Amino acid sequence: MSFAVLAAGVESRLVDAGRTSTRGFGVPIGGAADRRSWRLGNALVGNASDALALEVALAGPTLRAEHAMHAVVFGAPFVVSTDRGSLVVGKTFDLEPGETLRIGGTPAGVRAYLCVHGGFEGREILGSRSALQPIHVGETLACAESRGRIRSAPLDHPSLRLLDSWTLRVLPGLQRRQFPGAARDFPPLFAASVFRATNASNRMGVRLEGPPIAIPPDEISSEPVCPGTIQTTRDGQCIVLGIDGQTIGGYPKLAQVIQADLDALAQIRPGDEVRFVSCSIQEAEAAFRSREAETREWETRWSA
Amino acid sequence: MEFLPLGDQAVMIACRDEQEASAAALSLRHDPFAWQIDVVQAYLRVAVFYDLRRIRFQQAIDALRERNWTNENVRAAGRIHVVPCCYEMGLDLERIAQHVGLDRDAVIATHCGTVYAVYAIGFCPGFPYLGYLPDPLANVPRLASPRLRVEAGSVGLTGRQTGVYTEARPGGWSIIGRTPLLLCDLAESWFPIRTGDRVKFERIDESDFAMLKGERLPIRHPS
Repeated sequence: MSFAVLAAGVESRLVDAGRTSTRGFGVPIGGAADRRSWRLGNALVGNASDALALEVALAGPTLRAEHAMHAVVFGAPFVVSTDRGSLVVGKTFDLEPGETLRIGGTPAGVRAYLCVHGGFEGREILGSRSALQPIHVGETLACAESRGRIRSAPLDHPSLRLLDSWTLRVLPGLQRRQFPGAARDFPPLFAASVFRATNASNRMGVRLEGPPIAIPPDEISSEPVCPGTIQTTRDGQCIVLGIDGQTIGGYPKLAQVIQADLDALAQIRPGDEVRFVSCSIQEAEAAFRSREAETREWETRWSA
Repeated sequence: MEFLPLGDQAVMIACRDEQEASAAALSLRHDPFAWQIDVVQAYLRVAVFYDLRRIRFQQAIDALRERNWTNENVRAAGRIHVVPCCYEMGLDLERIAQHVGLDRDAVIATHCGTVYAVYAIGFCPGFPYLGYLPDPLANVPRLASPRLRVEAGSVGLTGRQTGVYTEARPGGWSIIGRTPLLLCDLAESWFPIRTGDRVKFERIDESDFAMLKGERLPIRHPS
């Protein structure tokens, strides 16, 4: 016994780092879509960085604590409350036995992580305990009893300030040169356009609406793809693959979002504006390294 | 071989043919680099995912370029799988026969008389893309309107490919038969088929199907 699920929310699921080494079996990576928020939430409740947490999206679940628990919600600024009043995203709290935790909606961003001290329990499949399905009403989410010292991330922390207009850095996709008009750089319509995320966006991908881009005339055979791969469908619209995206794809690939910007991709909300700006592989690598170093530094500081 | 960047996550090896790609994927799985996270093959291409905390793209590409790819032991290491298939349960067998201009028995004999290579795994976990169909069976178009549910075990074909649905999914391939066996079990982390393996179908009847239903594909080691 631990948390009883009274309402499941839009898409709440238990996540960890996912399955990064079994894509060859056709199994998507899965796991936390916004990895930094998941890691920092775990740091705040004193967990190892790979602890299993509950990812909530757009409209969160209602859960009843069956015993005392020390927890935090970290990520998009969801409206969170218990029987005793409202809570703040980024600040840890204790739940009393029988108390109900309500995670409502968020005015910006999409996802946040409910981390409990000690982590949730889950069965390992292909090296990860990330659930294959969202949680459902009536389910029990197992975790240990805990209490802890209340601590808080700086509430103006960059991970807690989310936007409604995003600029993602991209590298060229493997078929970029085959797109009409892409002789030297990206097709002008891609480089200069403002796209809008549609309602059809989910963990599998962010579907964008924008001026239709002329696609290469030749069919290509399927090839490996990964989170951040931008495929252009026959109607000239772009899909950016997400953390649960397919492992191989046969649409032409115009660009690839850099790793450092994949957490941002996970927070793009239907209706948000998206722009793309090109960068070099060196810039992408430097961005990854400095982001990783920054995350580690916060993890260390917050879990101390 | 040509080496290309898949963003900042992988080096994509573009191969001359499917055999070269399968051999490269087998070699990398058999003898991985320390920085290698994952290897994914699809047809002519092999993505080698690397850990950006341990290596940069340029170093990964250099290491791959310098690698000795001519290891004959690895080349022969793919398994062969025999997949029983009940063609009487092929929902579109008649449609396929009409399209290719053969009778049903000739369609079945042709489909199970070929040894296929696994060129990719995807669409859903464990779904093997097998190729290539012999000419008489090639180029059956997709269904005009995809089925909302194709049962797990269904053996489908389209274009030059044949494959096995490992989970119930919507699907547009013509269904030629059905296997009673499980080709993978995600909940148990069990995936016996990899790219570079070969698959042969073996005709069974409906009573064999009922007897074998739900069993796992037996694993045969390379002889």
